[in-house]
Amino acid sequence: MNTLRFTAGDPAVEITQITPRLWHALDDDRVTGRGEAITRPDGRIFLSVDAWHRSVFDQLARAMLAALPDPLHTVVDESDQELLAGWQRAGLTIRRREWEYAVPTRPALPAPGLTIGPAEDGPLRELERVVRAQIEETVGWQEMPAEVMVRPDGDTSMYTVAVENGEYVGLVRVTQLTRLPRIGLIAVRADRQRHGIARALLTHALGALHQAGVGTATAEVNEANVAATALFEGIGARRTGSTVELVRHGR
Amino acid sequence: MAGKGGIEVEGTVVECLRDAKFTVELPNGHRVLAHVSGKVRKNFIKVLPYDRVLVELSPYDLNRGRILFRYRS
Repeated sequence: MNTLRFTAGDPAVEITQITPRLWHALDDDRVTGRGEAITRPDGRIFLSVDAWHRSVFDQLARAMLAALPDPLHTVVDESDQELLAGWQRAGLTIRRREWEYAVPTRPALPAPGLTIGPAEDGPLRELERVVRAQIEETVGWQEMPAEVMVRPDGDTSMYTVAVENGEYVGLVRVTQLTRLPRIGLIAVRADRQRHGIARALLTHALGALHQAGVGTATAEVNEANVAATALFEGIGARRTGSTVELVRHGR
Repeated sequence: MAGKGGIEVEGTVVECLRDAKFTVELPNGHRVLAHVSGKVRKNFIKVLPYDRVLVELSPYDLNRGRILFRYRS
């Protein structure tokens, strides 16, 4: 089958702004397209458009881009050439790429000098504060996954931490909403980086998944993050795809 | 004013295709070519074979759909 999502034969639609962040394309009172904007915890606005026809996509994107303040962002699976082309027609350009990895699990090896285990809320909160500060001083939030910003109060269930001399020095966050767990974040204090702590945390997390009978996890890594790319590829992770983030900076 | 939405139906992903598309089988055995909705994409939700999903069918072509939601179980 080779059906195109955006097809010829333009339907006559009416674009209506339903709320400040939601647009509908109406074809004879039926919603045939939607445009939505959300604000991420770091304050950046991300757009999405769902439409069955190229012309409707373009109209929705045009209406949203005219109404919202720059900069505006979106994310696209890089293999989805139709959608990518749609956003590029709208004037957005590729800003960065994330590789998607399939990460094989395996039994964990002991990490000399480190204690790795479950997190407690208080010290984890302090480590998160340190990690946030070092991100703001270096690459900035725009290069980081959204998960760094938000954690429900008291919920440490997704976190494993590395402890050195009684102090939390690194964390790994693994979510398992479905049968394919996702390694959402690995972070190590700046003054303890390049000591193998990230690798030890990752190996530990993969070991726990292996023990639970899970064979593969997923992760996304910023293409520009050479250290993280080397970390994942060094443990046998395989690239399975890529996601690109596009941005429009201004008129 | 908001209008009527499309037809929504649950289905099961039977195949991941190239170009970020999926074959989804509906309870009546009908198969549709589906892509993920913007909301699913923005939330980094992965769709895999055997996932149960909610699909909105295209009013222009009932062989096409978009995945609105992936169920956890």
